[in-house]
Amino acid sequence: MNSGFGLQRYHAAAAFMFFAAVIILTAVTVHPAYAAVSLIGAFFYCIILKKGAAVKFFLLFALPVIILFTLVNALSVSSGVTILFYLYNPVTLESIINGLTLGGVIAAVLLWFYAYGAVISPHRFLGLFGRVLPKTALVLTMSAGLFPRYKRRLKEVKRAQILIGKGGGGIKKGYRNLAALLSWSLCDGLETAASMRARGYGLKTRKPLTFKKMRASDIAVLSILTAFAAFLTAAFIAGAASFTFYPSLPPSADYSLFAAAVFAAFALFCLLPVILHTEEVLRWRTSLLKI
Amino acid sequence: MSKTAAKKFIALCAVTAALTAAVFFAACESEYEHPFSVTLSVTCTAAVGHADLPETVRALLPADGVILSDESIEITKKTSVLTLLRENLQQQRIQFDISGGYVRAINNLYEKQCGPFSGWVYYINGSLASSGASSYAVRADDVIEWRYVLSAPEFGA
Repeated sequence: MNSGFGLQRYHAAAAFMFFAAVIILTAVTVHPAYAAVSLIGAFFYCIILKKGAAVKFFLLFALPVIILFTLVNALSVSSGVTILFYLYNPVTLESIINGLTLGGVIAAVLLWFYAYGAVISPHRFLGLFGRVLPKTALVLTMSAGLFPRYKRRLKEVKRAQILIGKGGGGIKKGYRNLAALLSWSLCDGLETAASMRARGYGLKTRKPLTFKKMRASDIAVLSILTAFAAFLTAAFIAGAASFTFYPSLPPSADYSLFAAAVFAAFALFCLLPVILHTEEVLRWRTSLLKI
Repeated sequence: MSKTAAKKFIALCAVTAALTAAVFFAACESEYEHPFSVTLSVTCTAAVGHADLPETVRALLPADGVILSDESIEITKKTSVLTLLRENLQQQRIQFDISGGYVRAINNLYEKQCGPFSGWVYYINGSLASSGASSYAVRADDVIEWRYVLSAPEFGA
């Protein structure tokens, strides 16, 4: 699997390490600047990976989440010194910024998961965990595809029912469709289990389809990412990314050099996939020009 | 019953009803002869410099604990203690958090910030009120005092 650029090109362990770290670090921090930089990193990476579909995903899921959190927080929390206007209770600037931050965190996590789906295919996931945790990895991969698979099958069942002249709506027919789907899926589960066993899934000597050896560059990227994640985790535990919204936002003079360094590291970490990808694309294009 | 007796009975009923209504309205009116004035104050002396308070909240409290000093307020219509407090705080642009007739915070000082039993209570003419702030309508010359207390005070104190 050498196709693609940046995280797509490296060993799945590096990409998985990055997404696990960035999602957890983003989710545990409620800080406006951290949420913003994570959101920006995730957004641009999603655009690079999926282009227009990423914009659609952002407008359809991430943006409504931000708006919803801001509205609910502004209306339900009236703490804060900067009163903007009154809706029975005061609506404060602090509570709006807190809502924006919470929404930003959730939106960033959503976008990171979207990018994860584009970078780590089920094949790569199985290749990574198929030998360490064979059962867990298979169950996770299969359940990830459960909903789309059942949707597809139900469509097929309905088509078949129409073809034998028993199509249409109604509870009774819907029940028959559901029963067909259920027996099909149960039968399929047994077949899958037998098939996987026949192929020797989970045996130590068996290699997965996308098995890939760790190269020196993979190890280098993985160790850089691990160092970043370890430093940021330690700094977060030490409280470098803590932020108080109420009753007043902290004055900007409060930021120490250490806090600035931690923020710079976090920003670089969030933008790393975009930087890696862009740098490689540029290098690829200049090498094409030389030919 | 003869026709005149019936007429007399109806007339008597009418007079009784009119009298009852007059007495009732007079009783109401005598209590709320608008306009009148009341005194409102908001103090948080007990919370000033309290060790449990976050530094940021402590900095917001006035040194003498007086958020709203004895203000004389003209009342022109039936007003509850809660409405009186809310309208005056809003006028002075002081933060508050009121939910369902209960005062959770004034000037960003929230309940339970100085121990588990701390919070806002109100006194009418020096004695602790026994009814909810939204159900007590202020009367002429009432002295209303909102006070931040560290534990629930005894009635009659």
